[in-house]
Order: sequence, then C-alpha cells, then structure tokens
Amino acid sequence: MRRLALIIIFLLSIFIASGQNNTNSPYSVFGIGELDNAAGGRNMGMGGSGIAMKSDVFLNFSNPASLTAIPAQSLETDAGITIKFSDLQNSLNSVNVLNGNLSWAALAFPINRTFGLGFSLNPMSSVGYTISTIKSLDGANYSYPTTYKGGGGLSEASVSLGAKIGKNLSLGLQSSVLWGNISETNLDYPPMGSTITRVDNSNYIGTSFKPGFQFQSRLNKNTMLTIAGTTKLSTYLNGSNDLTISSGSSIVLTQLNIQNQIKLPVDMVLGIGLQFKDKYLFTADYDRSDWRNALVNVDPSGLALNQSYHVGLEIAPKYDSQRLGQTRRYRFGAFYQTGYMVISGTQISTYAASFGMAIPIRKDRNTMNFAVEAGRQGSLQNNLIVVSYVKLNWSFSLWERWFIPRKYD
Amino acid sequence: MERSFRAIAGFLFTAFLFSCNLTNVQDFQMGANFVNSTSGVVLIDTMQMVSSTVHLDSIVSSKLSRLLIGGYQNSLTGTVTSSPYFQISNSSFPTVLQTDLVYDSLVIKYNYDGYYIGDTTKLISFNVKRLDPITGTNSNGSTFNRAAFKLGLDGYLYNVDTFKLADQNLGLVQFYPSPTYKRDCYFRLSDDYGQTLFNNIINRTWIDTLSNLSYFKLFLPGLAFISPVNQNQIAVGISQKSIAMRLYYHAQVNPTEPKVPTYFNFAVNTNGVWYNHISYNSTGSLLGSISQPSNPLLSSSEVPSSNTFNQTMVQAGSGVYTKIRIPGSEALKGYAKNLILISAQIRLTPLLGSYTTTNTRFPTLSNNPLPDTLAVFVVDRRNVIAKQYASSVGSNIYAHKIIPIAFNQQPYYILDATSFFASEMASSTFTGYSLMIGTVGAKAGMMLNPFAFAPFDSSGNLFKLSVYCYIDKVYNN
Repeated sequence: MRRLALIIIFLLSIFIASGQNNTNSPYSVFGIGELDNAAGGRNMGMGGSGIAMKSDVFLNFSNPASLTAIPAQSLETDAGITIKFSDLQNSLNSVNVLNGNLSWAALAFPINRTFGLGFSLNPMSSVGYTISTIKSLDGANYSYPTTYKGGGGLSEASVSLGAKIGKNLSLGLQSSVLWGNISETNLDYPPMGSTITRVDNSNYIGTSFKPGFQFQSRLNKNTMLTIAGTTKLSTYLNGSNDLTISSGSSIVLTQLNIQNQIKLPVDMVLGIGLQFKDKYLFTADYDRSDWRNALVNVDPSGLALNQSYHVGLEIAPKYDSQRLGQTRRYRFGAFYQTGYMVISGTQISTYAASFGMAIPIRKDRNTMNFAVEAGRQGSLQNNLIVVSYVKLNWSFSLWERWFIPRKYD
Repeated sequence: MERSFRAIAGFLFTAFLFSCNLTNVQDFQMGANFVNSTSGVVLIDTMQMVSSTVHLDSIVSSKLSRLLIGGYQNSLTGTVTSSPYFQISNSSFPTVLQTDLVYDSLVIKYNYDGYYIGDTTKLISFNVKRLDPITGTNSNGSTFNRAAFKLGLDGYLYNVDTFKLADQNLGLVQFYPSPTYKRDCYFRLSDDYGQTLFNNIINRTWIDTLSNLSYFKLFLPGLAFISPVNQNQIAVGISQKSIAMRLYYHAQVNPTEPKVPTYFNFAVNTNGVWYNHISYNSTGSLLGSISQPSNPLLSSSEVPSSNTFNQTMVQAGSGVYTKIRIPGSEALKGYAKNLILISAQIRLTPLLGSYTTTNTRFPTLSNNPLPDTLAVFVVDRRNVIAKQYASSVGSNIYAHKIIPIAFNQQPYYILDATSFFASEMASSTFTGYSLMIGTVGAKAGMMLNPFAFAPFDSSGNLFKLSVYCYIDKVYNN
C-alpha cells in the first residue's frame, strides 16, 4: 500500500514536471532553453553549490555518490517548488513576470550498508518567450515585423545508485531519461501577402549518465574535508519535429516527423566541502561544460564554454540543541555563471546571491527549507536584455524510518 | 509514514497549482538580430522577363456604349480608323395618317459622349451609308432577301467585321468636333432617300409592313458612318443612345397658318446590333508591319521588344497588347526545398511622353491619359488567349495604376502576378503561358488610345519583377 502510494506520488510528479512552461525569458529562445540547475533546497540556499555535500538528513541528488550517507532503515524524500519574479529590461521596454513550478521531487533509501538508491525528478530546461522584433528581408534593404513565441522544456527523471567503497570513498552513477516538448512559433508579417505562421513542434527523448565520487577525509576531530566530482557524459536527445507553415489561415506546408538530434556537452563539476562539527559547512563548486561541442538549434558561433563558480556557507548556531525549532540552519551562497550563449558578441552570464533557512518541523529529522536567490542575467549591451530575478524556493526534506521488522507482542 | 505521504501529496498538489505560469508569457520587444532568423521572406528580383508587343487579329467591339468616329495616328503603333455600324429601329406610326402630309427633310441626330483623342481643331468628316440586305437565290430557284446585319455565333461582333453597304451615299457629314458640347447635333441627309422613305410611310400598306421590325430590317438593315482612310488626326465618341434618324414632315395647311413640323423618329435599336469597325495599319510606326502578319492564318503577330527600343506598346481599338513571358516562373519551386510563394509583383512604367498627363487647367489637345486599370490575359505560346487572368477564387486581376505622391515620379502600373506564379509552380508540365496586358475589354473596342511601356532601366525601377518567397532555412536541405 505504501509502495503503491509512493509510485502514485512519483507518477503525479512526472505529470506535473513534464510539459511545463516555467520560464518567461527571451533568452530561452536559444538551444534547449533556460537550464535549471536545481539540486535540492539546501543547495539552492548555498549558491547552487554542493556536490561535495553529504548528509544523513538532506538529500543531495547533484551527486549520486552522496546517497551512501543515508542511514539504514530510512526513507528520505525531498520536494520543492519555486516561484520566480523576473524583471526583463532592455532599451525598448521593461516587463515584470511571475512564474512558479515544481522544482524537484526526490526520494532515496539505502539498499544495504554499501548501496543507496535514489529516484529524482526535475525540470532540466524551460522555454517560454514571446519576442517581437524585426526580420530583414533578404534581397531587399528593409525589414518587417516578426514575433517569436516558444514554450515547453525538458524534464529529467533519474535513478541514482551510490556505493561506498572503503571508509572514505563513495562512488555513484545517475542514469536519467530526458524528455520534453519544445514548441516554437514564428509569425512573420511581411509587407505583402498574409501573415506567415511557422510552427515547429519538437518532441525529444534521450538518456544521460552521470558518474560521481565523494572522497571524505577527517582533518581533525571536528573537521571533515570532502572532495567530490561528477561528470555528466555527453548526452544525445533524439528529436522528432513537426513543421507546419501557414499563410493566412491556410496551411501551405506540413512536414511531420523530421528527425533531428540534440547533443548536450560533457558537464564536469569539481567541488570541495569543509565541515566543522555540524555547525559550519563551506562548499565550493566549479562547473565546466563546453557548449562549443554541443549540437543545438543555435549557430556554433553562438555557443561558448560555460563555466560556473559556486560557493556556499551553512551555519547551524544551535546545532546540538535538543529542542524542536532550535536547530535552525542559515545558508548563504553566491554563484557566477559565464553562460553558454553568445549573442551579438556578448556572452550571456548570470550572477546571483542566495540566502536560505532550514527549519525543523517535527521531532525526527524533518525539515522545511526556504531559499531566496536574487540574480541578474544578461547585459544591456548590444541591445540585449537584463533579466533581474528573485527566486523563492520552498521545500521539504522528510525522513522516515522504514523497513522495521514487525515484532510480535 | 502515512502523515509523510499526506504531506508530500499535499505539497505536490500545491506544486501542481503553481506549475502553470502565474503570468502569461509577456510580449517583449527586441531589437533586430537578437534571434538569427532561421526562416523568412526573401526577395528575388533577378528573374528575367521577356517582353514583346502582340497584335491580336480581332477584338470585341459590339454593344458598347460608344460609337467611335474618326481616326488617330501616332508614331508608336500607326494609324487606327473607326467607322461605327448600327441598327435602327422602326418609328412608331399612327394608325391613321393624314392624307395632306408633306416631306421636309431627313436628318441624323447624335450627341457626343465626351471621349476624344487627337486634335479637336481638325475637321471630321464621314459618309452616312446604308447597309444592304443580302439577296440571292435558294436552291429551289426562289429568291430570298435577308438582313445580314446580325451578331456572330458567339454573340459578338469584332473590330474587323464588315458588312455590305449600299452604294448610295445618304450624306457627307463634316464638322469641327466639340466633344464637351452637350446638346444634340443634327445633319441633313439625302432627300432622295428621305423622300423614298416618306413615300413608303404614307402608303398605308407600307406602314403596316414597316411596323413589323423584321420587315423593317430588310428595308433598312442599318446605317454606318464611314470614315475616310485619311481621317487620322481626330476621333470622337458618340453616345450610342443619342443616335437617331429623323424624318421631318408637316401637314399642308392654310398658308396663313403656321406650319407644324413633326417627325418620325428612327432611334438606334438598343436590342439590336451596333459595333465599331476599326481598321489598323501599323506601317511606318515603331511596330513596323505587325498589322500585316507574314502568316495571315495566325490569330496574332508579335514584335519582340528588342525591335522596338525595348519598349512595348498597348493600344485600345487596334488590339495591340504587351506580352510578358517569365521563363523562370515554373522553375521557382526548385529554387529552394521549402519555398512558399508569397507575392509576385510586376511593375510596369509607361514611357514618359507616350501618354498625356491629366491637367484640368490646360487640357492637352491629344487627350491621351493613362487608364486606371489594364486588363490581363493568360496567353499560350501562340498568343491565343487561354483565359482572363484571375485569382484562385476566380476574380479577375487587373494591373492598377499607381500615381506616386512625389511630384517628380512617374506613374506606373502594378500587376499582382502571384496567382500566375502559383499556378505555374503547381503545374507539373510546361505550360508555356505568358501574361498579356492591355486595355480593359469593355473599353478596347471603343477607344484608340496608345501608349508604350518603358524598357528595363539600369536602376531596375521602370520594368521590374519582385518575387517574395518564404524560405524555411532550417529544414532546407
């Protein structure tokens, strides 16, 4: 019964997570849209860092090797929602938008002393934009108005397995199915003839693999150093496109099932974590993916080496208190991401600062997490846009005792 | 455990509520080049057009509102001369006629309709002729007498049609035209014929006979105003409805009392036949011998624009049209894989000086303004008209005159050739079709106005084809 309920919940999550349109940024017109790096409420409060985090309370699905920390007879679940306020601004206009969506849903449990198994579901990228601009008319020295509209995104469902190798080393492998739908509509308003509507509806599916490791070394009685790394291998998504072009209200061209392929580049992350008792945790990640090797619907000159730097700090002032509500944790973080897109010679970078808080909600190890991330993406140079945003994240980290053998009275 | 599930389920439900966009995706204005347009409209203005002037052997000129008299000569197309033929109906005759009636005169009456071309200071003259009924012998030896003046099998008469005229001349009419003169003009005709007609009327049996239209047609099948061949400087339009032949008479009364003239009115038969016979001679003009084709069996003759300083001509009345062949129109579909035709526009600029500009203050003598619209036909390789050029839903498409606002720019015509390109591209076989442009059909048989289209110029503005296509560059391989 419980397992059935679990499956139902997980399927519901899939339903919720797939096919969402949870961004509202003109930058999502490029590639597979805006990348979603969510890896848990704790990570979000700490500037997105945390592949070197290892906790028996908080699930960290940014690194499958961290699953070995789940205690025996436990079931850990974690789910979060995000609301994002954005202000889009360029020299022409300024627009405020509000989006909200499920950020992740994950559960994990240990199989035995060596292995931990986890399932997670999260949006991988989001597409959502309506851009009004002009198109130059080839062969003539004038332009005409055009509108691009897009929606959809890719979702990721993963199975992660962590294995403890010896006292200090854990290895893990995350296998994911990526799928989604991206719909692009382009309305051309040429000075002669009817409006031309080009609808390109793509369905993608693919798999990806992400091995990871965590190496822990106790520096002294109270200090633990963790070094971690993950590599998401180059991922291929097979796409099937349906193209429809209409002139006015009549369809003039239909091409169904055009096969195409998206290749996402290798994504390597290195991180360290330094923990003093349970009171302080400092994390830093370096993320590198070379999108110049990618194959997306963007001219290769528009792709760049994407590097990001994340740092985070967690403080639990009363970590050893036994009273409910006293063991609050405060999180601070920041990141800088160079971005994978180059538009008009400008790389679209993002920087953000975050603050988070974890509040225990029950006697056992259940926590409610809040995180706020305020960031800025893009540039006003070369007629680009600056997206200023505030993300509010609300998540639960729940712990349950599981697999207790029944005892006879 | 159960509580946890409930918590998570509740949480996911909340997430579900949030998962839609809280605000709609906002329309955001961006400058150019933010998105690399992967598809879009391209202009192809390098397609070749081959132009020529075509002379159709005949054009419809019957049952138009205007009868055209006179002629016009110009250096572009040559000389055209028009002689109208028309049927008149019988007058109504009183059942009882006085016995003391006296013939006065026979006159022809008409009114201008305002149209003219040429020099109005020149004298117009024409002979009024009577059409002859056809007489002959049947195979059984009996004779027949038949009014030959009737419409052709297709219901029309053409500018080249002729009918036999009686030798007798009913009168020579000569006048200096005043096309804007609104009142009726009267000219006296032959009294010999008038007296004959009068005598036939006052004879009671003749009245009964003449009251029957078919008998009247045998007696007087119709009239024609025959322009002399050298009449080439002025042509005027006569309102078809205004024409009538009148036979004036009076009753013999006491000489001390005033005469009371009255008349029998023979108006144009509006249910009958009338047309303009228009003769055309291109000799000595830019078109050379186009009016005398080397092969008279062909229904048209053609002069390439290379023989006429790259100009092409259009003239009403004579059947002179401009033909445009676009060799690449069918091949356009092969230009790119996902190519969608949006629009094809042909711009044609009339040659400056080949027409007169409308100037209300100082109307020019020749009065040859550009028409607002020109008719377009689809013709095959032998210049036989396949159909009038029309849109996919069947409405006729014309070339429209555009007068630029800038004072120093010339008027031009725009022809929307999209429908032509669409059908050419859709055709699996080579059609060989061309477009032929000229005077609108309803006016071609009642005007003589010529003009020329200017040749392709270095800036490509005077004679130009602009084809707009949407090309999908993403899947275009």
